[in-house]
Amino acid sequence: MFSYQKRLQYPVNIKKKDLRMAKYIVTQYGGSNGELAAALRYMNQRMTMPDNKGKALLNDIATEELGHVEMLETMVYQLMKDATLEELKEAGLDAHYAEHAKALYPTDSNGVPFTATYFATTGDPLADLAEDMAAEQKARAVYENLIDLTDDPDVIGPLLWLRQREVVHYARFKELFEDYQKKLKNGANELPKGEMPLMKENLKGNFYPIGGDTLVEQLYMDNNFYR
Amino acid sequence: MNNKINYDWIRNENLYQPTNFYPSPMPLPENNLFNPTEAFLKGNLWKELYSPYKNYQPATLTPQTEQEKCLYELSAIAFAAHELNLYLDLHPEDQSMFLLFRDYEQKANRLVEEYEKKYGPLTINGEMTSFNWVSSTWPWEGRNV
Repeated sequence: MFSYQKRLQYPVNIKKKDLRMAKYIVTQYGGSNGELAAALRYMNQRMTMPDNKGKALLNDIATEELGHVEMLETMVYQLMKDATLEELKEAGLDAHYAEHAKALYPTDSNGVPFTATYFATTGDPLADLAEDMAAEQKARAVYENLIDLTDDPDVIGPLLWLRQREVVHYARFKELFEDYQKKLKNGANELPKGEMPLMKENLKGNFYPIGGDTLVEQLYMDNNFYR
Repeated sequence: MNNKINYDWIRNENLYQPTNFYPSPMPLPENNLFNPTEAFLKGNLWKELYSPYKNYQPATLTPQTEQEKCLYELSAIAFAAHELNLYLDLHPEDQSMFLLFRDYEQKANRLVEEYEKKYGPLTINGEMTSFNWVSSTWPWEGRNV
């Protein structure tokens, strides 16, 4: 399950409305290389990763991407919230207004609605991870295009930050991809199947894995550790 | 479009300057990590992975109230812990990184508690004397650092 912290992963405080940028930035929310697609892509693929490392990494990056969805929503919302109807019409957002008023709706910059075809789940870990690496690179490139399109430091700050996260995620996916590739080259006919570890419940009602690393076990047992 | 954004206007000595709130109790592994505050501003804990875009510099965050400063500190340490979490997913056997992760995570948890005591709930399972989960500001409204 997921729990929520009432804060953004990185702050967004946009003081100046900018409908043009709202129209462009929405693509990183609901476009093919956006954060919503990323979160759902990894959330689906994590189920069939061949070992626990892969499951952990995809799970934890997917979770972070949900935080990025929230940041993008915040950016679009803050860029649009003070606009008048006249300004929306001028910016070509009257069609958006007709269907959604000032509510958020995940689309790309051209208004094409979000679709599940933006991501794949082949069940082949190498194919899936290669897609994830490409997705992170494409998202990085789009963030750079968006940075080029504005000179508002309030907008550039979070865009630069989100771009940097794509760089880190790409590196992690690449590391996992190369690890699996090496295992296959070293004579394994198929990648190892992940095993579900034995779980135990702690005082706070959280489950933690037992029978592995004792230090890790102690950490999870500490009922203050997981909130 | 002008790509050389100048952030100097925010770099004012009268404003709050980021520092390393949490000097590590142990030497950073191979000294290849940014400190949590710097990592948070950059969006990257790993010196070798850091890749700036053109000559843009990361924004300098300027908390203006005690509440914002508390949230800033919490966000920085939680971010550093999350970066170590992603690394440890692939290297669960790395004890020195694990100890650093545990240290950051415990500090983050303590800061959540401290913040909640002073400013209201960040998490639904934190201590509340009345149900002010609904009344504290949502993160997309107004300033958050």
